[in-house]
Amino acid sequence: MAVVEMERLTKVYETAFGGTGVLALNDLTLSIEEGETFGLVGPNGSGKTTCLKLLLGLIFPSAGKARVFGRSVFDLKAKQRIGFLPEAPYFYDHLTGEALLDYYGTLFGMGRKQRRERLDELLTLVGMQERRSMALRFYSRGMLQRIGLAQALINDPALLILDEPTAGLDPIGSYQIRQLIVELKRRGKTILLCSHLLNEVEVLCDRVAVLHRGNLLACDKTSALMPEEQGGQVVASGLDRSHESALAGMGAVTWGEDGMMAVAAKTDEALQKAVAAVVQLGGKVREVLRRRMSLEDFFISAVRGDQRSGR
Amino acid sequence: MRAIFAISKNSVGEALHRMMFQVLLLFALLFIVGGTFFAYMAPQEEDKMLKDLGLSIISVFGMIIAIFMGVTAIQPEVERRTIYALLAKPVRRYEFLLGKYVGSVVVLGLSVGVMGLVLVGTLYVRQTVLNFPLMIAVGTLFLQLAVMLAIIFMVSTIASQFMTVFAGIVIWVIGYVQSYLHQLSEHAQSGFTRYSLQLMNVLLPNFQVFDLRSQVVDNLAIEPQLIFAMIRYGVLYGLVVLAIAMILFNEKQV
Repeated sequence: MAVVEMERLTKVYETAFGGTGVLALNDLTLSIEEGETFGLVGPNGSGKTTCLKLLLGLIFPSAGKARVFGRSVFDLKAKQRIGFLPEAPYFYDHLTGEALLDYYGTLFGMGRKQRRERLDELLTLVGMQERRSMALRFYSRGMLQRIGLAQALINDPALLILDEPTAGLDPIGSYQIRQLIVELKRRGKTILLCSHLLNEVEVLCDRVAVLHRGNLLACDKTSALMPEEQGGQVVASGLDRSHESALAGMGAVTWGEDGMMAVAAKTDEALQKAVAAVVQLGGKVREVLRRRMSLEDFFISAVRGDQRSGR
Repeated sequence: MRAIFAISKNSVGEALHRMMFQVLLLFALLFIVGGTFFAYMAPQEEDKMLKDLGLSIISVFGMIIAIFMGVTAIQPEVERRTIYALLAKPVRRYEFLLGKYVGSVVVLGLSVGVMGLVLVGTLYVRQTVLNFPLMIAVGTLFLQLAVMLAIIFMVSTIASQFMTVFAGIVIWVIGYVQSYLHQLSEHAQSGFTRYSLQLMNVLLPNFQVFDLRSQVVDNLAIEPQLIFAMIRYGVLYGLVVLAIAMILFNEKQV
Protein backbone atom coordinates (compact mmCIF):
# COMPACT_ATOMS: atom_id res chain seq x y z
CA MET A 1 0.00 0.00 0.00
CA ALA A 2 1.33 3.44 -0.93
CA VAL A 3 1.72 5.66 2.12
CA VAL A 4 2.74 8.73 0.13
CA GLU A 5 1.48 9.49 -3.37
CA MET A 6 2.48 12.45 -5.47
CA GLU A 7 0.83 12.86 -8.82
CA ARG A 8 2.17 15.40 -11.29
CA LEU A 9 2.93 17.65 -8.34
CA THR A 10 4.05 21.09 -9.42
CA LYS A 11 4.88 24.18 -7.44
CA VAL A 12 5.54 27.61 -8.84
CA TYR A 13 6.35 30.35 -6.34
CA GLU A 14 4.62 33.43 -7.64
CA THR A 15 6.63 36.62 -7.65
CA ALA A 16 5.30 40.04 -6.80
CA PHE A 17 3.83 42.30 -9.49
CA GLY A 18 2.90 39.47 -11.86
CA GLY A 19 6.38 38.11 -12.64
CA THR A 20 6.87 34.71 -14.23
CA GLY A 21 7.40 32.98 -10.91
CA VAL A 22 9.95 30.40 -9.82
CA LEU A 23 9.40 26.77 -10.73
CA ALA A 24 10.37 24.89 -7.57
CA LEU A 25 8.90 21.49 -8.40
CA ASN A 26 7.96 20.25 -11.83
CA ASP A 27 5.46 17.49 -12.54
CA LEU A 28 6.69 15.15 -9.82
CA THR A 29 5.09 11.73 -9.69
CA LEU A 30 6.28 9.44 -6.90
CA SER A 31 4.93 6.95 -4.43
CA ILE A 32 6.39 5.58 -1.22
CA GLU A 33 5.31 2.17 -0.04
CA GLU A 34 4.55 1.12 3.52
CA GLY A 35 7.66 0.17 5.50
CA GLU A 36 9.97 1.67 2.90
CA THR A 37 12.85 4.01 3.66
CA PHE A 38 12.88 6.50 0.83
CA GLY A 39 15.64 9.01 0.17
CA LEU A 40 15.19 12.37 -1.48
CA VAL A 41 18.46 13.87 -2.66
CA GLY A 42 19.39 16.92 -4.64
CA PRO A 43 21.49 20.08 -4.45
CA ASN A 44 20.24 23.27 -2.83
CA GLY A 45 17.21 24.62 -4.64
CA SER A 46 16.38 21.26 -6.19
CA GLY A 47 12.88 21.21 -4.70
CA LYS A 48 13.38 18.79 -1.79
CA THR A 49 12.06 21.08 0.92
CA THR A 50 9.25 22.28 -1.35
CA CYS A 51 8.27 18.65 -1.80
CA LEU A 52 8.21 18.07 1.98
CA LYS A 53 6.25 21.28 2.57
CA LEU A 54 3.65 20.18 0.02
CA LEU A 55 3.35 16.79 1.74
CA LEU A 56 2.83 18.49 5.10
CA GLY A 57 0.26 20.95 3.78
CA LEU A 58 2.44 23.94 4.63
CA ILE A 59 2.20 25.26 1.07
CA PHE A 60 -0.28 24.64 -1.73
CA PRO A 61 0.49 22.96 -5.06
CA SER A 62 0.21 24.94 -8.29
CA ALA A 63 -0.85 21.74 -10.05
CA GLY A 64 -1.14 18.04 -9.32
CA LYS A 65 -1.97 16.45 -6.01
CA ALA A 66 -0.37 14.78 -3.02
CA ARG A 67 -1.94 12.21 -0.73
CA VAL A 68 -0.74 10.64 2.50
CA PHE A 69 -2.33 7.40 3.75
CA GLY A 70 -4.82 7.82 0.90
CA ARG A 71 -6.04 11.14 2.33
CA SER A 72 -5.53 14.79 1.49
CA VAL A 73 -2.39 16.26 3.05
CA PHE A 74 -4.64 18.73 4.88
CA ASP A 75 -6.69 15.97 6.51
CA LEU A 76 -6.00 15.90 10.25
CA LYS A 77 -6.43 12.10 10.30
CA ALA A 78 -3.43 11.85 7.97
CA LYS A 79 -1.43 14.32 10.09
CA GLN A 80 -2.23 12.26 13.18
CA ARG A 81 0.03 9.54 11.73
CA ILE A 82 2.92 11.73 10.56
CA GLY A 83 6.07 12.67 12.45
CA PHE A 84 8.21 15.49 11.08
CA LEU A 85 11.72 16.64 11.91
CA PRO A 86 12.46 19.98 10.20
CA GLU A 87 15.92 20.93 8.98
CA ALA A 88 18.02 22.65 11.67
CA PRO A 89 15.14 22.49 14.13
CA TYR A 90 14.53 25.48 16.33
CA PHE A 91 12.03 25.29 19.14
CA TYR A 92 10.61 27.58 21.80
CA ASP A 93 13.49 28.91 23.90
CA HIS A 94 11.51 29.23 27.10
CA LEU A 95 10.50 25.55 27.22
CA THR A 96 12.51 22.67 28.63
CA GLY A 97 12.99 19.49 26.61
CA GLU A 98 10.22 17.66 28.44
CA ALA A 99 7.85 20.67 28.32
CA LEU A 100 8.30 20.80 24.53
CA LEU A 101 7.41 17.12 24.16
CA ASP A 102 4.48 17.57 26.54
CA TYR A 103 3.21 20.52 24.47
CA TYR A 104 3.40 18.62 21.20
CA GLY A 105 1.84 15.56 22.84
CA THR A 106 -1.14 17.73 23.83
CA LEU A 107 -1.57 18.77 20.19
CA PHE A 108 -1.95 15.09 19.31
CA GLY A 109 -4.73 14.78 21.90
CA MET A 110 -2.70 12.57 24.24
CA GLY A 111 -3.77 12.41 27.87
CA ARG A 112 -1.48 13.50 30.71
CA LYS A 113 -0.54 9.93 31.74
CA GLN A 114 0.07 8.88 28.15
CA ARG A 115 2.23 11.94 27.53
CA ARG A 116 4.26 11.31 30.66
CA GLU A 117 4.96 7.70 29.69
CA ARG A 118 5.70 8.55 26.08
CA LEU A 119 8.11 11.36 26.85
CA ASP A 120 9.99 9.19 29.35
CA GLU A 121 10.34 6.55 26.65
CA LEU A 122 11.43 9.04 23.98
CA LEU A 123 13.90 10.93 26.16
CA THR A 124 15.57 7.60 26.90
CA LEU A 125 15.52 6.62 23.22
CA VAL A 126 17.28 9.83 22.10
CA GLY A 127 19.58 9.90 25.12
CA MET A 128 18.23 13.13 26.61
CA GLN A 129 16.96 11.94 29.98
CA GLU A 130 19.59 13.89 31.89
CA ARG A 131 18.83 17.13 30.01
CA ARG A 132 15.05 16.89 30.18
CA SER A 133 14.69 19.80 32.62
CA MET A 134 17.13 22.08 30.83
CA ALA A 135 15.72 25.07 28.88
CA LEU A 136 16.05 24.64 25.12
CA ARG A 137 18.03 27.88 24.81
CA PHE A 138 20.93 26.06 26.48
CA TYR A 139 20.78 23.06 24.14
CA SER A 140 23.59 22.43 21.68
CA ARG A 141 22.86 21.80 18.00
CA GLY A 142 23.12 18.04 18.55
CA MET A 143 20.75 18.16 21.53
CA LEU A 144 18.22 20.16 19.51
CA GLN A 145 18.45 17.59 16.74
CA ARG A 146 17.79 14.78 19.22
CA ILE A 147 14.88 16.52 20.90
CA GLY A 148 13.64 17.31 17.38
CA LEU A 149 13.65 13.62 16.57
CA ALA A 150 11.88 12.88 19.85
CA GLN A 151 9.10 15.38 19.06
CA ALA A 152 8.74 13.80 15.61
CA LEU A 153 8.13 10.46 17.33
CA ILE A 154 5.77 11.69 20.06
CA ASN A 155 2.69 10.27 18.31
CA ASP A 156 4.43 6.98 17.36
CA PRO A 157 3.97 7.92 13.69
CA ALA A 158 3.56 5.43 10.87
CA LEU A 159 5.26 7.89 8.49
CA LEU A 160 8.36 9.73 9.56
CA ILE A 161 9.56 12.68 7.48
CA LEU A 162 13.13 13.68 8.27
CA ASP A 163 14.69 16.77 6.72
CA GLU A 164 18.49 16.63 7.00
CA PRO A 165 18.42 14.68 10.29
CA THR A 166 22.19 14.66 10.81
CA ALA A 167 23.14 18.02 9.30
CA GLY A 168 25.60 19.87 11.50
CA LEU A 169 26.19 16.99 13.88
CA ASP A 170 29.60 15.59 14.81
CA PRO A 171 30.45 12.07 13.54
CA ILE A 172 29.36 10.38 16.75
CA GLY A 173 26.10 12.34 16.89
CA SER A 174 25.41 11.49 13.22
CA TYR A 175 26.12 7.83 13.87
CA GLN A 176 23.72 7.78 16.84
CA ILE A 177 20.93 9.41 14.81
CA ARG A 178 21.56 6.92 11.97
CA GLN A 179 21.31 4.05 14.44
CA LEU A 180 17.99 5.46 15.64
CA ILE A 181 16.73 5.61 12.06
CA VAL A 182 17.84 2.00 11.49
CA GLU A 183 15.94 1.01 14.65
CA LEU A 184 12.82 2.85 13.46
CA LYS A 185 13.14 1.18 10.08
CA ARG A 186 13.36 -2.21 11.86
CA ARG A 187 10.14 -1.34 13.67
CA GLY A 188 8.43 -1.02 10.30
CA LYS A 189 8.09 2.75 10.04
CA THR A 190 7.82 4.31 6.63
CA ILE A 191 10.58 6.89 6.42
CA LEU A 192 11.06 9.74 3.98
CA LEU A 193 14.60 10.98 4.38
CA CYS A 194 15.75 14.19 2.80
CA SER A 195 19.51 14.63 2.91
CA HIS A 196 22.55 16.17 1.29
CA LEU A 197 24.68 13.41 2.75
CA LEU A 198 24.62 10.86 -0.01
CA ASN A 199 26.50 8.17 1.87
CA GLU A 200 23.85 8.40 4.57
CA VAL A 201 21.05 7.93 2.04
CA GLU A 202 23.05 5.13 0.43
CA VAL A 203 23.30 3.26 3.73
CA LEU A 204 19.79 3.86 5.03
CA CYS A 205 17.43 3.99 2.05
CA ASP A 206 15.73 1.28 0.03
CA ARG A 207 14.89 3.66 -2.80
CA VAL A 208 16.19 7.04 -3.81
CA ALA A 209 14.82 9.89 -5.89
CA VAL A 210 17.24 12.46 -7.32
CA LEU A 211 15.87 15.95 -7.79
CA HIS A 212 17.50 18.78 -9.67
CA ARG A 213 15.95 22.19 -10.37
CA GLY A 214 12.57 20.76 -9.47
CA ASN A 215 12.82 17.89 -11.92
CA LEU A 216 12.99 14.22 -11.05
CA LEU A 217 16.21 12.89 -12.60
CA ALA A 218 15.97 9.33 -11.34
CA CYS A 219 14.03 7.22 -8.94
CA ASP A 220 14.95 3.63 -8.28
CA LYS A 221 16.24 1.14 -5.76
CA THR A 222 19.50 2.35 -4.28
CA SER A 223 21.24 -0.79 -5.59
CA ALA A 224 19.90 -0.18 -9.11
CA LEU A 225 21.15 3.40 -9.14
CA MET A 226 24.58 2.16 -8.10
CA PRO A 227 25.47 -0.87 -10.24
CA GLU A 228 27.91 -2.98 -8.23
CA GLU A 229 30.34 -3.54 -11.10
CA GLN A 230 31.29 -1.00 -13.63
CA GLY A 231 34.49 -2.41 -15.04
CA GLY A 232 37.77 -1.47 -13.43
CA GLN A 233 41.49 -1.32 -13.92
CA VAL A 234 44.17 -3.98 -14.37
CA VAL A 235 47.66 -3.04 -13.28
CA ALA A 236 50.34 -5.30 -14.76
CA SER A 237 54.10 -5.61 -15.30
CA GLY A 238 56.35 -7.60 -17.64
CA LEU A 239 54.87 -6.19 -20.84
CA ASP A 240 56.19 -3.65 -23.31
CA ARG A 241 54.65 -1.23 -25.79
CA SER A 242 54.62 -3.88 -28.52
CA HIS A 243 51.70 -5.50 -26.64
CA GLU A 244 49.63 -2.33 -26.59
CA SER A 245 47.72 -3.09 -29.78
CA ALA A 246 46.57 -6.42 -28.31
CA LEU A 247 45.22 -4.67 -25.20
CA ALA A 248 43.85 -1.50 -26.77
CA GLY A 249 40.48 -3.00 -27.61
CA MET A 250 39.79 -3.69 -23.90
CA GLY A 251 40.27 -0.16 -22.63
CA ALA A 252 42.61 2.81 -22.39
CA VAL A 253 46.21 1.71 -21.83
CA THR A 254 48.62 3.85 -19.83
CA TRP A 255 52.31 3.21 -19.27
CA GLY A 256 54.23 3.99 -16.14
CA GLU A 257 57.85 3.65 -15.06
CA ASP A 258 59.60 0.32 -14.48
CA GLY A 259 57.48 -1.46 -17.12
CA MET A 260 54.24 -0.99 -15.19
CA MET A 261 51.12 -0.49 -17.25
CA ALA A 262 47.39 -0.22 -16.64
CA VAL A 263 44.31 -1.01 -18.69
CA ALA A 264 41.14 0.88 -17.72
CA ALA A 265 38.21 -1.30 -18.75
CA LYS A 266 34.76 0.20 -18.91
CA THR A 267 32.82 -3.03 -18.54
CA ASP A 268 33.20 -6.22 -16.53
CA GLU A 269 33.59 -8.19 -19.67
CA ALA A 270 36.41 -5.99 -20.91
CA LEU A 271 38.05 -6.20 -17.50
CA GLN A 272 38.02 -10.01 -17.57
CA LYS A 273 39.41 -10.02 -21.13
CA ALA A 274 42.16 -7.61 -20.12
CA VAL A 275 43.21 -9.84 -17.20
CA ALA A 276 43.26 -12.91 -19.50
CA ALA A 277 45.20 -11.02 -22.20
CA VAL A 278 47.89 -9.84 -19.75
CA VAL A 279 48.43 -13.45 -18.60
CA GLN A 280 48.41 -14.74 -22.18
CA LEU A 281 50.98 -12.14 -23.26
CA GLY A 282 53.31 -13.25 -20.47
CA GLY A 283 52.72 -10.31 -18.18
CA LYS A 284 52.15 -10.38 -14.46
CA VAL A 285 48.87 -9.08 -13.00
CA ARG A 286 49.75 -6.85 -10.04
CA GLU A 287 46.30 -5.54 -9.09
CA VAL A 288 42.72 -5.61 -10.30
CA LEU A 289 40.66 -2.65 -9.09
CA ARG A 290 36.93 -3.10 -9.43
CA ARG A 291 35.07 0.14 -9.81
CA ARG A 292 31.93 0.59 -7.79
CA MET A 293 29.69 3.48 -8.63
CA SER A 294 28.66 5.33 -5.51
CA LEU A 295 25.41 7.18 -5.17
CA GLU A 296 27.51 10.31 -5.17
CA ASP A 297 28.95 9.39 -8.57
CA PHE A 298 25.49 8.74 -9.87
CA PHE A 299 24.16 11.94 -8.40
CA ILE A 300 26.93 14.08 -9.88
CA SER A 301 26.64 12.49 -13.33
CA ALA A 302 22.86 12.80 -13.27
CA VAL A 303 22.96 16.46 -12.23
CA ARG A 304 25.64 17.24 -14.85
CA GLY A 305 23.60 15.49 -17.50
CA ASP A 306 20.58 17.56 -16.50
CA GLN A 307 22.60 20.77 -16.66
CA ARG A 308 23.91 19.83 -20.12
CA SER A 309 20.41 19.15 -21.35
CA GLY A 310 19.63 22.74 -20.34
CA ARG A 311 16.65 22.01 -18.08
CA MET B 1 -10.45 23.61 21.50
CA ARG B 2 -7.65 21.50 23.01
CA ALA B 3 -5.16 22.80 20.43
CA ILE B 4 -6.28 26.42 20.92
CA PHE B 5 -5.80 26.11 24.68
CA ALA B 6 -2.36 24.45 24.34
CA ILE B 7 -1.13 27.04 21.80
CA SER B 8 -2.44 29.97 23.84
CA LYS B 9 -0.81 28.60 27.00
CA ASN B 10 2.49 28.27 25.17
CA SER B 11 2.30 31.77 23.72
CA VAL B 12 1.57 33.24 27.17
CA GLY B 13 4.71 31.53 28.52
CA GLU B 14 6.71 32.71 25.52
CA ALA B 15 5.59 36.35 25.90
CA LEU B 16 6.15 36.49 29.65
CA HIS B 17 9.72 35.26 29.11
CA ARG B 18 10.48 38.02 26.61
CA MET B 19 12.77 40.65 28.03
CA MET B 20 11.20 43.36 25.83
CA PHE B 21 7.77 42.69 27.31
CA GLN B 22 9.08 42.81 30.88
CA VAL B 23 10.89 46.10 30.22
CA LEU B 24 7.79 47.64 28.60
CA LEU B 25 5.60 46.71 31.55
CA LEU B 26 8.16 47.95 34.05
CA PHE B 27 8.40 51.31 32.28
CA ALA B 28 4.60 51.61 32.16
CA LEU B 29 4.38 51.02 35.92
CA LEU B 30 7.17 53.52 36.59
CA PHE B 31 5.35 56.13 34.50
CA ILE B 32 2.06 55.54 36.33
CA VAL B 33 3.68 55.85 39.76
CA GLY B 34 5.77 58.78 38.49
CA GLY B 35 2.53 60.50 37.42
CA THR B 36 1.82 61.08 41.12
CA PHE B 37 4.64 63.61 41.21
CA PHE B 38 3.37 65.42 38.11
CA ALA B 39 -0.02 65.68 39.80
CA TYR B 40 1.51 67.82 42.57
CA MET B 41 2.10 70.53 39.97
CA ALA B 42 -1.65 71.16 39.85
CA PRO B 43 -2.74 70.96 43.48
CA GLN B 44 -6.42 71.73 42.79
CA GLU B 45 -6.70 69.12 40.05
CA GLU B 46 -4.46 66.41 41.50
CA ASP B 47 -6.96 63.54 41.32
CA LYS B 48 -8.29 64.54 37.91
CA MET B 49 -4.79 64.83 36.54
CA LEU B 50 -3.72 61.53 38.07
CA LYS B 51 -6.70 59.71 36.52
CA ASP B 52 -6.28 61.38 33.15
CA LEU B 53 -2.54 60.85 33.05
CA GLY B 54 -2.84 57.28 34.34
CA LEU B 55 -5.42 56.27 31.73
CA SER B 56 -3.35 57.92 29.00
CA ILE B 57 -0.25 56.01 30.08
CA ILE B 58 -2.20 52.72 30.11
CA SER B 59 -3.58 53.55 26.68
CA VAL B 60 -0.16 54.35 25.15
CA PHE B 61 1.73 51.48 26.79
CA GLY B 62 -1.21 49.16 26.11
CA MET B 63 -0.96 50.14 22.44
CA ILE B 64 2.81 49.46 22.40
CA ILE B 65 2.31 46.08 24.13
CA ALA B 66 -0.54 45.19 21.72
CA ILE B 67 1.68 45.98 18.71
CA PHE B 68 4.55 44.03 20.30
CA MET B 69 2.29 41.03 20.95
CA GLY B 70 0.83 41.17 17.45
CA VAL B 71 4.21 41.42 15.74
CA THR B 72 5.83 38.65 17.80
CA ALA B 73 2.93 36.18 17.57
CA ILE B 74 2.93 34.78 14.03
CA GLN B 75 5.79 36.18 11.97
CA PRO B 76 8.63 34.92 14.23
CA GLU B 77 7.05 31.44 14.13
CA VAL B 78 7.36 31.56 10.33
CA GLU B 79 10.84 33.09 10.33
CA ARG B 80 12.26 30.66 12.91
CA ARG B 81 10.34 27.84 11.22
CA THR B 82 8.80 26.65 14.50
CA ILE B 83 5.53 26.77 12.59
CA TYR B 84 6.67 23.83 10.39
CA ALA B 85 6.75 21.36 13.27
CA LEU B 86 3.50 22.81 14.62
CA LEU B 87 1.37 22.79 11.47
CA ALA B 88 2.73 19.33 10.56
CA LYS B 89 0.75 18.15 13.59
CA PRO B 90 -3.03 17.73 13.64
CA VAL B 91 -3.65 21.44 14.16
CA ARG B 92 -5.96 23.47 11.94
CA ARG B 93 -4.63 26.81 10.82
CA TYR B 94 -7.47 28.71 12.44
CA GLU B 95 -6.73 26.90 15.72
CA PHE B 96 -3.14 28.11 15.51
CA LEU B 97 -4.24 31.68 14.85
CA LEU B 98 -6.92 31.69 17.54
CA GLY B 99 -4.55 30.05 20.03
CA LYS B 100 -1.99 32.75 19.38
CA TYR B 101 -4.63 35.48 19.63
CA VAL B 102 -6.11 34.17 22.88
CA GLY B 103 -2.61 33.88 24.38
CA SER B 104 -1.78 37.44 23.31
CA VAL B 105 -5.08 38.75 24.70
CA VAL B 106 -4.36 37.04 28.03
CA VAL B 107 -0.93 38.72 28.19
CA LEU B 108 -2.46 42.04 27.16
CA GLY B 109 -5.15 41.59 29.83
CA LEU B 110 -2.53 40.83 32.47
CA SER B 111 -0.52 43.91 31.47
CA VAL B 112 -3.51 46.27 31.44
CA GLY B 113 -4.75 44.65 34.66
CA VAL B 114 -1.44 45.21 36.46
CA MET B 115 -1.21 48.80 35.16
CA GLY B 116 -4.84 49.42 36.19
CA LEU B 117 -4.26 47.95 39.65
CA VAL B 118 -1.25 50.20 40.20
CA LEU B 119 -3.26 53.24 39.08
CA VAL B 120 -6.26 52.34 41.26
CA GLY B 121 -3.86 51.54 44.11
CA THR B 122 -2.11 54.91 43.75
CA LEU B 123 -5.47 56.69 43.93
CA TYR B 124 -6.57 54.50 46.86
CA VAL B 125 -3.50 55.59 48.83
CA ARG B 126 -4.57 59.21 48.31
CA GLN B 127 -8.34 58.89 48.67
CA THR B 128 -8.74 55.61 50.63
CA VAL B 129 -11.68 54.89 48.31
CA LEU B 130 -11.72 52.34 45.51
CA ASN B 131 -12.51 54.11 42.26
CA PHE B 132 -14.90 51.74 40.41
CA PRO B 133 -15.50 54.01 37.38
CA LEU B 134 -11.74 54.04 36.88
CA MET B 135 -11.73 50.23 36.90
CA ILE B 136 -14.50 50.19 34.30
CA ALA B 137 -12.52 52.65 32.16
CA VAL B 138 -9.47 50.36 32.38
CA GLY B 139 -11.71 47.45 31.34
CA THR B 140 -13.04 49.25 28.27
CA LEU B 141 -9.50 50.28 27.39
CA PHE B 142 -8.58 46.60 27.46
CA LEU B 143 -11.50 45.84 25.12
CA GLN B 144 -10.27 48.53 22.73
CA LEU B 145 -6.73 47.10 22.80
CA ALA B 146 -8.08 43.57 22.18
CA VAL B 147 -9.85 44.87 19.05
CA MET B 148 -6.66 46.62 17.97
CA LEU B 149 -4.71 43.39 18.56
CA ALA B 150 -7.14 41.52 16.29
CA ILE B 151 -6.49 44.08 13.54
CA ILE B 152 -2.71 43.77 14.02
CA PHE B 153 -3.07 39.96 13.79
CA MET B 154 -4.97 40.35 10.53
CA VAL B 155 -2.28 42.64 9.09
CA SER B 156 0.53 40.35 10.30
CA THR B 157 -0.82 37.43 8.25
CA ILE B 158 0.03 39.27 5.04
CA ALA B 159 2.57 41.98 5.89
CA SER B 160 6.15 42.11 7.12
CA GLN B 161 6.99 42.91 10.75
CA PHE B 162 7.91 46.49 9.88
CA MET B 163 4.67 47.02 7.96
CA THR B 164 2.70 45.49 10.83
CA VAL B 165 4.22 47.91 13.34
CA PHE B 166 3.53 50.82 11.00
CA ALA B 167 -0.05 49.64 10.39
CA GLY B 168 -0.57 49.21 14.15
CA ILE B 169 0.41 52.83 14.86
CA VAL B 170 -1.69 54.15 11.95
CA ILE B 171 -4.73 52.14 13.12
CA TRP B 172 -4.32 53.47 16.64
CA VAL B 173 -4.18 57.07 15.41
CA ILE B 174 -7.11 56.61 12.99
CA GLY B 175 -9.12 54.96 15.76
CA TYR B 176 -8.88 58.19 17.75
CA VAL B 177 -9.72 60.59 14.91
CA GLN B 178 -12.86 58.84 13.68
CA SER B 179 -15.15 61.66 14.87
CA TYR B 180 -13.11 64.10 12.75
CA LEU B 181 -13.53 61.82 9.74
CA HIS B 182 -17.26 61.85 10.42
CA GLN B 183 -17.30 65.66 10.57
CA LEU B 184 -15.22 65.85 7.40
CA SER B 185 -17.65 63.57 5.57
CA GLU B 186 -20.56 65.85 6.57
CA HIS B 187 -18.79 68.89 5.16
CA ALA B 188 -17.37 67.23 2.04
CA GLN B 189 -18.10 69.04 -1.22
CA SER B 190 -18.03 66.15 -3.65
CA GLY B 191 -20.16 63.02 -3.35
CA PHE B 192 -17.17 60.76 -3.93
CA THR B 193 -15.20 62.29 -1.03
CA ARG B 194 -18.25 62.13 1.22
CA TYR B 195 -18.96 58.46 0.45
CA SER B 196 -15.26 57.55 0.76
CA LEU B 197 -15.05 59.17 4.17
CA GLN B 198 -18.29 57.53 5.26
CA LEU B 199 -16.99 54.16 4.11
CA MET B 200 -13.77 54.70 6.07
CA ASN B 201 -15.93 55.68 9.03
CA VAL B 202 -17.72 52.35 8.89
CA LEU B 203 -14.76 50.08 8.04
CA LEU B 204 -12.04 51.54 10.28
CA PRO B 205 -12.25 51.03 14.04
CA ASN B 206 -13.54 53.78 16.27
CA PHE B 207 -11.54 53.70 19.48
CA GLN B 208 -13.22 56.83 20.82
CA VAL B 209 -16.24 54.60 21.49
CA PHE B 210 -14.27 52.88 24.27
CA ASP B 211 -12.94 56.06 25.84
CA LEU B 212 -14.48 56.78 29.24
CA ARG B 213 -11.76 59.22 30.26
CA SER B 214 -13.98 62.30 30.41
CA GLN B 215 -16.62 60.49 32.51
CA VAL B 216 -13.98 59.22 34.94
CA VAL B 217 -12.03 62.48 35.18
CA ASP B 218 -15.14 64.65 35.64
CA ASN B 219 -16.84 62.09 37.91
CA LEU B 220 -19.81 61.71 35.55
CA ALA B 221 -22.12 58.71 35.70
CA ILE B 222 -21.37 55.85 33.29
CA GLU B 223 -24.58 54.49 31.79
CA PRO B 224 -24.75 50.64 31.64
CA GLN B 225 -26.23 50.96 28.12
CA LEU B 226 -23.03 52.68 27.04
CA ILE B 227 -20.96 49.78 28.37
CA PHE B 228 -23.18 47.20 26.63
CA ALA B 229 -22.99 49.17 23.38
CA MET B 230 -19.20 49.26 23.45
CA ILE B 231 -18.97 45.55 24.33
CA ARG B 232 -21.29 44.76 21.42
CA TYR B 233 -19.28 46.96 19.04
CA GLY B 234 -15.92 45.61 20.26
CA VAL B 235 -16.90 41.93 20.16
CA LEU B 236 -18.58 42.19 16.75
CA TYR B 237 -15.75 44.22 15.20
CA GLY B 238 -13.13 41.91 16.72
CA LEU B 239 -14.91 38.76 15.48
CA VAL B 240 -15.23 40.08 11.93
CA VAL B 241 -11.55 41.07 11.84
CA LEU B 242 -10.48 37.70 13.28
CA ALA B 243 -12.61 35.89 10.70
CA ILE B 244 -10.83 37.82 7.92
CA ALA B 245 -7.46 37.04 9.56
CA MET B 246 -8.34 33.31 9.61
CA ILE B 247 -9.29 33.36 5.92
CA LEU B 248 -6.02 35.13 5.03
CA PHE B 249 -3.93 32.81 7.20
CA ASN B 250 -5.63 29.77 5.69
CA GLU B 251 -4.26 30.82 2.30
CA LYS B 252 -0.80 31.69 3.58
CA GLN B 253 2.19 29.72 2.29
CA VAL B 254 4.39 29.18 5.32
